[in-house]
Amino acid sequence: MLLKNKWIASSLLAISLMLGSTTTATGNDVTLKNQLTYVNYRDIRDLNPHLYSGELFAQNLLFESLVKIENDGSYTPWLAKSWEIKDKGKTYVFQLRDDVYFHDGEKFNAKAAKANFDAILDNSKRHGWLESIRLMIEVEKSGKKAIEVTGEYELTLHLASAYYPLLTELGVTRPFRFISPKSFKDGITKNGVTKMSGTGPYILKSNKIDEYSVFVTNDKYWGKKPKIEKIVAKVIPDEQTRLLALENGEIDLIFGPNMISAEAYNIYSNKSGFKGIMSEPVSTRMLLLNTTNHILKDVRVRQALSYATDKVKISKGLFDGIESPADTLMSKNTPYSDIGLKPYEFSFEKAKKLLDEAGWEKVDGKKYRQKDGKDLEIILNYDANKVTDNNIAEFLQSQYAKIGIHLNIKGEEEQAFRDRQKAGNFAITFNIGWGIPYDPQSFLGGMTKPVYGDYMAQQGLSNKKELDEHILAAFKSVDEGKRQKHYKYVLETLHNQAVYLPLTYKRNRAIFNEKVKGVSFNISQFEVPMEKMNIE
Amino acid sequence: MKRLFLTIPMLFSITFIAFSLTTFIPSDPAEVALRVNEIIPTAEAIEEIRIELGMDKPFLIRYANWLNDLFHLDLGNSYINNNRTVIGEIARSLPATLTLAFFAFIIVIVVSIPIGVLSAVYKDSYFDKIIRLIVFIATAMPNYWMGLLLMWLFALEFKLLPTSGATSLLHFILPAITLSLNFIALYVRLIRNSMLDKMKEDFVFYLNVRGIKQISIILKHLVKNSLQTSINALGMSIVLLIAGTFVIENIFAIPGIGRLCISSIFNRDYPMIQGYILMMGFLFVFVNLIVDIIQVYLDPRLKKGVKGL
Repeated sequence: MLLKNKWIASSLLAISLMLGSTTTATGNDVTLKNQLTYVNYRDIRDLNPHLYSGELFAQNLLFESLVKIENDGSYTPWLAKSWEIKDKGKTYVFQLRDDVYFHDGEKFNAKAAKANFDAILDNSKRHGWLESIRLMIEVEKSGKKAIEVTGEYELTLHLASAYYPLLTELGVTRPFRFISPKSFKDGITKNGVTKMSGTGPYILKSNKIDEYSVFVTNDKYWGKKPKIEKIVAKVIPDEQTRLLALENGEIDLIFGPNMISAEAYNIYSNKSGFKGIMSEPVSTRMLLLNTTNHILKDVRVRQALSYATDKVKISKGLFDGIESPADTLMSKNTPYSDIGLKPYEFSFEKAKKLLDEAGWEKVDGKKYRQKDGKDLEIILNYDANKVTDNNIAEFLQSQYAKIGIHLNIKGEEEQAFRDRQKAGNFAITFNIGWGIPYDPQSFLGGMTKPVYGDYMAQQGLSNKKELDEHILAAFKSVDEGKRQKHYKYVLETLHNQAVYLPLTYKRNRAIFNEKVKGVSFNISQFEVPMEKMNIE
Repeated sequence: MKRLFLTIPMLFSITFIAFSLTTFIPSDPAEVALRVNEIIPTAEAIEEIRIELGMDKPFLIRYANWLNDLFHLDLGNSYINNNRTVIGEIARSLPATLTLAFFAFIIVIVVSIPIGVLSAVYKDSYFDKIIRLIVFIATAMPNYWMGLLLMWLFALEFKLLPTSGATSLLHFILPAITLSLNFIALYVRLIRNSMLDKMKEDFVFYLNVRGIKQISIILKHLVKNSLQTSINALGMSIVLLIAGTFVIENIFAIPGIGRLCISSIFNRDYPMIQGYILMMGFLFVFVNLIVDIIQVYLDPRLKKGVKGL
C-alpha cells in the first residue's frame, strides 16, 4: 500500500512539474503585448563591442556609436551632437551629447569615449581590416596622441593622413561602439568585459546560452524609446525548424539572407498571415580570376568567361530570382560605383570570338578547345560546405563546356579553401563583397593587402601598382570629385580587365508574422532595426 | 581485476588520440585560432599565438603538459569564446543531453520490451508482421526527417507540443521519441530473436511438460533470460543515446553536448572537439566496464570463465 502511494505521489509530482513548466514553454516568463520573438541560428555569444565574436544584431541593440550611417549613406549625429573636420581631413573634433548614461549608471563623456578608443587601439592587431586604426596607431608611434579629451564633452581624433571613410568605420557596429569603462578588465577590453553596459535603447536582461536571450527597453535611454518593450532572441539552428516555429507562432521574425533560403522566402512572403520584404542589393557574389594563371593571364580569356556566363539563368534558376543578376563588381547603389560601366552581356558568340583570337581554337574530334596541343582546362575551387557555390560551379561547368572550355571544379574543406585563396594558389575561386556600408572602401582596401586573395589574383596586371595607389589616394582624398575619379579608375580597370566575374547581387530579406509592423532594413545587412518595429 | 587494469591503457590511448588531433589536422591550429576570431593571420600574429598555445614545444612535452592539465580537470579554453573553459562548456551542455537521453531510454525500454516479447509469442501473426514492417521503416527513416514530421504533426497540426527549445520537460517529448525510434527498432528485433532462441531450449520444454502456465513461463523465465543477453547492448546504447544526439539537438534546438560538438566542428574549435572526444571515449570505456560487472553479477558463470582464462 505504501509502495502504491509512493508511486501515485511521484507520478503526481512529475505531472505537476511538467504542467508547471508549460507556462515557460516559449521561454518567456511574462508575455507582453509589445514583445517581439526574434530567432537566430546561434547564441549571441560574447557581445563585447570591441571584439568580433558576438552577434551583430545584439551588439546593435546595446551599444551606440558617435555617428549614425543613414540608409542613403549620409552621416547623422548619434552620441556626437556635431563634428568638425580640420587640418585637411586629419583631425576630427566631436561634440558629444551631455545627457547620456551607460546602462550601469556611469556618465558618458569625452573621458569615457577616450577610454573606449584607447582600449581598441591597445588591441590594434585585431582590427587589421580598419585603415583608420592603422592611421591612429601611426600618430601614436610618432609620439603624439591620436585621441584627446579636449573638453568634458569634446573628443578630438588625429589621423596620420586624411581618410574619408573614417565616419563610416566609426558608424558600423564594431569595433567603435561604447561600453561603460566600469566594465573594463584592468582598464582594457581585449581580455573580456565584466558587464555588457552600453548606452543603447535596450538592456541585456538575461542570456541562457544556446537557448535564448532577453532584451528589455532601457528606461533611462536618452533618445526616443522603442515601441517593442521586450525582445526574446531564440536560438534555432535548423532552417526547417525555424520555419515551423514561425508558422506555429513561437517566433515572429526571421531576418537575414543566410537565415532564409530563396524557396522559403517565396513561400512565406505569399502565405496568409505572414509577410516578406527584400532589400536593395547589399553585396556582390562573384568569381575571382587569377591574372597570374598561365591561361587566365590573357585578358581575352577572362573576358570570354564573362561573356559566356548567363547570370540571368543563375539568378532565376539557382536563386528563384531572389538574387538579381550582377553586371558590375559593385552594384550601382554602392557609393562611387554608378559610373556607367558597360556590362558583359551574355553572348556565346562574343566569347567564342575572343577565345579564337586568344589562340584557343576548336580542333576536330576534340571536346575542348586547344592551344599548342593542350586543352583549355581551368580549375575552379570552391568551399565544399557551400551548397550554393557547388550549384553555381556545376552550372558554369556545363555552360562553359558548350563553347569548349573545360571547367574543372574542385570542392574542398573550408580551411583548405581559404588557405589556397590567401596564398593565391588558384585559377578561379569564389568571392563575396563586404556589403554596404563597408563597400567600396573596405573591399578595395583589401586588394592592397597581401593577406587577401584579391591582391594575389591581381599580380598579373601590368598596372597593379597604380591600382593600389589610386585606392589609397581615394581614401586620402578630401575632394569628392577627385575621390570619385580615383574610384572610377580602379573600378573601370578591374571591369575592363575582367579580373572579377560578378554573378549576382545578394539582397537582404525578412519573413515575419503580419502582426509585426515597421520591419525595414538598415544600410548594413548585419543590423536588424528592431527599434523601428512594433506589434499590432 | 584484469578487466579493470585493461581500462587504464585504453584511457591513455583515448587521451593520446584526442591530443594528436591538433597535430595531425591539415591546417595550422595557431592560424585557425586567429581566423576563428577574425584576426588577419599575419606571420607575427601566428608566432605569438603559437607561443601562447605552447605549440613551439616538442610533441611529447606538449602531450605531457596537456595530460598534467587533464589530471587537474583543465582542458583549456574554447577558441571561439575565450572566456569559457572546455570543462565548463561540457558541464553546461551535459544536463540537456542527459535529460534527452534519459527520456529516450525510458521510452526504449517501455516500448521495446513488450513489443519484442509479444511479437516473439505471436510469431508470424499479423501483429508480428505489422511490427516487423514498422521496425523496418523506423530503421530506414533518417532521424532528421522523422523529427520534422513529428514536429509538424504534434506542434503545427495538433498544437499539443512546442516545436523546439528546452525550457520545459514538454520540450523534450518530441526529441526523445525521435531519438528512441531507431533504438526501439533495434531492441524489438533483438528481444524477439532472443526470445525465439530461448523458446527452443530444453528448459522451456520441461516447464511446459510440468504444466506451468504459459504466461508464467513467458514472464518469469523467458523474458528474464532473454533480457540478460540484451543487457550488454542496452548498456552500450546509453552511450549511443548520448553520442547520437547530434542531429536531434540541432533540429529541436536543444542546447546539449551534440550541438556543442557540431558547432565546435564548424568553428574549428579544437580544444572543444578534443574535450568532446575525451568525454565520449571515457564514457564508452566506463559504461562498458559497468555493464561487464553487472553481467558477471547476474551470471556468475562468466566470472568462472574470466578466472579460467
